Amino acid sequence: MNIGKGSQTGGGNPGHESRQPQDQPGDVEALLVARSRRGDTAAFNQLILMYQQAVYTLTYRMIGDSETAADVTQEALFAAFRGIASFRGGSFRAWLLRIASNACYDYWRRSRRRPSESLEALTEPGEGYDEGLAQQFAGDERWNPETLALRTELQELIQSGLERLPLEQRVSVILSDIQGLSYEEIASVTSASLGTVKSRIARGRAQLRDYLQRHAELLPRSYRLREEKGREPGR
Amino acid sequence: MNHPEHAWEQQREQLSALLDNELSAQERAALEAHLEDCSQCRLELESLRRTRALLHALPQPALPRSFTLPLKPAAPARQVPDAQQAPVPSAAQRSTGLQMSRTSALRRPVQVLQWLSAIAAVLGIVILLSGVFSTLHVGGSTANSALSGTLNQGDKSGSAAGSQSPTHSPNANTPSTAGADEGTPAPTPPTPTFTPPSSTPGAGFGQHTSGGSSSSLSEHIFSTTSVGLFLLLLSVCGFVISWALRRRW
Repeated sequence: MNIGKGSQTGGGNPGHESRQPQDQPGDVEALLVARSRRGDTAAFNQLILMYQQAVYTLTYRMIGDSETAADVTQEALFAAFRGIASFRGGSFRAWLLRIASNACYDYWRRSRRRPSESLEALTEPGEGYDEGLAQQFAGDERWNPETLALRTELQELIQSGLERLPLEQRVSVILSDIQGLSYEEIASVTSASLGTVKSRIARGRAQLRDYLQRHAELLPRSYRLREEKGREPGR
Repeated sequence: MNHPEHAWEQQREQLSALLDNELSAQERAALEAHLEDCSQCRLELESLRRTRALLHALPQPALPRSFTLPLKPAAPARQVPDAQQAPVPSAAQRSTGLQMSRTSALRRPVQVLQWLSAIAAVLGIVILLSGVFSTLHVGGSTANSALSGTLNQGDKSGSAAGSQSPTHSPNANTPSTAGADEGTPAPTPPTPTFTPPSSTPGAGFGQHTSGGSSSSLSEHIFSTTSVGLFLLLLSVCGFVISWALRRRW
């Protein structure tokens, strides 16, 4: 059985960051941070160029709307520049992503799109764990990442499922499975313990899986037919 | 094997963490041994793995715009590189950084040049105005020769001539006039009572002109005006050069 991240294929985007820490240009980053502390906007803009994709990906996957995500990203980066004196070292990326996730929370509080949604709410009514769904999902070749091509409809379905996760689970799943952060980094971003991060990621994945299995029929018929054909030779 | 409901959440956390290599070696070995016998956990692990793979396969959203912050007005916006560059700083970005630091290093001399130009402009205007004052005094300042004589003596002593020395230097005949008034060839130190602080260069020039020839007067006015104009020209040049340098960056 293939387990672990090393076995994962799924057509991962080459632009995604790997979970293993890369050789960061730490000295360059530290220099830019130091200059930014002295109010050097040009230096901070260099940091923005390094991390704007990560910040925007987080806000976009959290919110689901490109315009709003862009506004929240800009707001977060302004806030980061204003508050860079409070950065006490460590991972600058984690610090920046924490500001971005807080900006997303602020957006949700302001917009009150889901007033009944609690940050710690576990699942929506009627969407609890369903063992049958997990079995279907695991046994259904349509969901086999090795044979899947992420067409627009499927991307929208995944995004829609993400937006139904409670915020804390959502941010943890995005940071882990889309951004490739380690549990330790996610704990730093979300100010939570490692155990809490582990729990949120597991619950978020399970809930998203159940959502996808429930809504598989929303995918266009042509898509499903294509997938049916695609798996023929494999059987 | 069926897991009881209360233990299932914890078991799923372990399976999920196994996918992320976030288990200790001991936990991992125990879980993998358990997976050999438990079909429920195998199904759960496979479904979580697929979910994780689907999320990982999502494409990165395209940036709708650059999120770089606006620079201060003194620095041109073209210093900000294009938004669509790679998130990791490329060689091009590093060279841009070098260019920026070079720009900020050159900004200081330009500021110094601007200050010098401003000072030259002020000095030039003051000197030009003093020349205008001296021409105004040519006709009518013949009164109070005794007081003027003492003023001349105070000026000649040199201690008060700091800021006025450029305008006094052309007057070569001043000592003889003062000597004739006082009758003592040796210069005496100025007394505070005879050197009022309100004495202006204009008053001194008026006295000089009353005692000197018309040719030396016109020569003096000409030199004062030319010095003033020269300083003004210098300041204009300084401003133009600094403006051009800023435009180039």
